[in-house]
Amino acid sequence: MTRPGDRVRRLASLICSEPTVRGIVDPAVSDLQFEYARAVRTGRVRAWFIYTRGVLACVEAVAGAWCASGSRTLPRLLAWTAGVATILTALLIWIPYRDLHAQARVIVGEPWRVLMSLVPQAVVAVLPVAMPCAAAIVLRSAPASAQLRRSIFMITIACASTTLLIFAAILPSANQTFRELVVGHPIWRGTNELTLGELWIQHAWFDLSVRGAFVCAPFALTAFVWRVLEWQRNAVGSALAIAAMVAYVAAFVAMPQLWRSFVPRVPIGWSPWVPNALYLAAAFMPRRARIVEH
Amino acid sequence: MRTGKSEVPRLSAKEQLILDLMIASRSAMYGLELVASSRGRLKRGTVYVTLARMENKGFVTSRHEDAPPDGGGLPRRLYSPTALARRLVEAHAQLARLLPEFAR
Repeated sequence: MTRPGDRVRRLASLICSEPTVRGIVDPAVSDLQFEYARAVRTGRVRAWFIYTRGVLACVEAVAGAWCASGSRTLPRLLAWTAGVATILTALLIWIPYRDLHAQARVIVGEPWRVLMSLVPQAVVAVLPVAMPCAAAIVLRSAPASAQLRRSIFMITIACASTTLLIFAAILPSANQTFRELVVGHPIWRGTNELTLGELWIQHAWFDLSVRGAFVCAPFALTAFVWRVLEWQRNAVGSALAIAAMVAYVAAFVAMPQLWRSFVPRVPIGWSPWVPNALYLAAAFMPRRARIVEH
Repeated sequence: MRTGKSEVPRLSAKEQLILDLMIASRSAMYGLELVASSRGRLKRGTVYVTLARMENKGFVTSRHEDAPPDGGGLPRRLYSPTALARRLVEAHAQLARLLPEFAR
């Protein structure tokens, strides 16, 4: 039988060390279970209220435990991810905005709306690369552990989910707003302005494939960075991993054209997945056995 | 060699509050009990992190409840102040009496 807080405890044991779970999460969960068992006798509504409040408190305790877990690696990783993402997003927003401004195409009084409508486009392009870049910088000085790997996997899931959410719910309308602000009047939506459901209905497999590859990119890239740092846990490893991220972006952009040139008979919808597949293959490539000298 | 840094353990406002509550109750307390008796000054989500930190600093000790609570589940953890924490709280109280500005 699953008791209140058991799932939170399981989550905590994935991302926090054993002493942290015992010292911080277990007391929170045991108090919740005690309070819930007492509340059940008084009524269902009260029990439900106690349960919700207690689970939220447990989640907060897990977050606190995660931050207080001794190593500063994860907070540093999050801070670096936010920093890299912010810088790259600002760059990706500024370049097209500057060009539009130079052509005097931004409607007077609307520059902030134009800038804001560019943010989702920039964020989905940046997020899959920002976290692996930050990992390449931060993890070179952190000892590898199973707990760290699990925590990074959780952050990767968060990055992928955010990218998916932006693709599904925010990007189509933001793109359309941007185009209409630039043109100055309502226009028909293109494939970049369609939701995932609309792309599916229209059988726009290539566009769906691009979005899917973007969403999955953090997994391939983070696994690749982890592998590179396992091999070279120093500045050289970090530099190589970051160079590989730049190469990934170049490959992602160039791949459709290369695909048309070299394998025109294979559906182009597969092309966005090639960089992901290559990086994943490199990440999980079997290690060469070390030669032991006798 | 003396570094010039104070070697007296420091108490944050939250830690002081927790110790005050524990000393006033005269018995070991569990996390939720502390939250309830603090009248909103302690939060459920952060009290356990503070208690773990205080345990590491040697301000509180903890033990598991003897019998498991009704309905099964994990045994609750009870916290009580250490002798060091009692002396520290007393020292703070004396300092506050001597220097009223300090207490504000």
